[in-house]
Amino acid sequence: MTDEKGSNLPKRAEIDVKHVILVLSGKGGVGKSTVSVNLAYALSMKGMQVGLLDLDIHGPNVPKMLGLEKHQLMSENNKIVPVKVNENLQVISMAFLLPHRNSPVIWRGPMKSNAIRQFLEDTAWEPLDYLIVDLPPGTGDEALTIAQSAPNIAGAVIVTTPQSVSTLDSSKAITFSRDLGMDVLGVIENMSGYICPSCKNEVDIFGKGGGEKIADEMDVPYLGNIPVDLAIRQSGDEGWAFVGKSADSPALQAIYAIIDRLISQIK
Amino acid sequence: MIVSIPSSGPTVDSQMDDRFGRAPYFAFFDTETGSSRIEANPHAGGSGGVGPMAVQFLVKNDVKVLIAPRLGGNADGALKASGITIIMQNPDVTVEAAYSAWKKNSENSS
Repeated sequence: MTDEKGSNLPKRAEIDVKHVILVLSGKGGVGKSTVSVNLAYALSMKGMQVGLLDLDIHGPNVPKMLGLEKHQLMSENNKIVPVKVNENLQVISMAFLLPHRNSPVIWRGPMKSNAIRQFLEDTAWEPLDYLIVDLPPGTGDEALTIAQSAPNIAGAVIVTTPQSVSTLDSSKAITFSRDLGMDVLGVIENMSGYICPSCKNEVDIFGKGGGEKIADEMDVPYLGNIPVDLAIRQSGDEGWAFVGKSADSPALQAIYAIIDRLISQIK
Repeated sequence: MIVSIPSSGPTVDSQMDDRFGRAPYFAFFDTETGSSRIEANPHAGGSGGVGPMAVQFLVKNDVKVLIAPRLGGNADGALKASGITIIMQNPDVTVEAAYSAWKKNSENSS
């Protein structure tokens, strides 16, 4: 971490968390929320105390993906109470503050930064082993604010799809992380190949290997690839975590392998 | 009936916000059921006309009473047209406290 003594940056939030992991991407729609939700859920299934912070203020998807759309945020002793998914997993999202689901949030940077700090500091998080932060695409206010406000940042995970347009944008997210003094824990290539359920032929509809290539070029770890799996899309739309409820499949194995590699980077 | 108060944070323990149109959140209290909720103010970041847009937001939420510290000229006009009662309140209290004080007051005077 860069030395911050005497800097003009605001102090880091004082929350009890061992490891904060940021999930970033260059482009939208590559699977950050899917990765964040499943990473957080898988860790909670292993008995870790996990917080999931949905910082996509304009398009908060985490509550929908976990079946939490009807929840509201309560407060206790002046602190926001996160919504519990299970014994070990708590969630905060702007979506809980948008009961009219088609409500946009037309906010500028400073307002978003304030909200992010409130979600971090004014929330009654249990003592956490991991805080997974789902970010919007790109390297804007949200990513900057959390990178400067969160304590104990283990590093950033970059999600991309295989095509060059996506990996090009993801390289910016990698550089951004480094510029802010964060470790890049690795690149994940999502939507990596599709296996036809009837003929079992594999078609690389979005290409393949771009993620590994960019990881190699930028000298960061490559965590693995997740194939296109209809059940992953279904889980997001229907509101359940893929890793919690799926029959064994290449996609499930791929996700577990990625999580193992990711966690082994953090020690 | 629904009472609304601009809030600086996402819970009823948050401080009242000292703005109306650009308040980041609004709290809504239902005097009949006693329930409360907070919603993000969608148009807070707009470049102009946020006062009237905030009034529309209140109307959409069926608000009859607004407890606020100060109002811009456009908001004032829009509120008068909407028929929402305006109660002025110093914003140095929490949203919950402002509501409780109003409720006590309105019970005393009715």
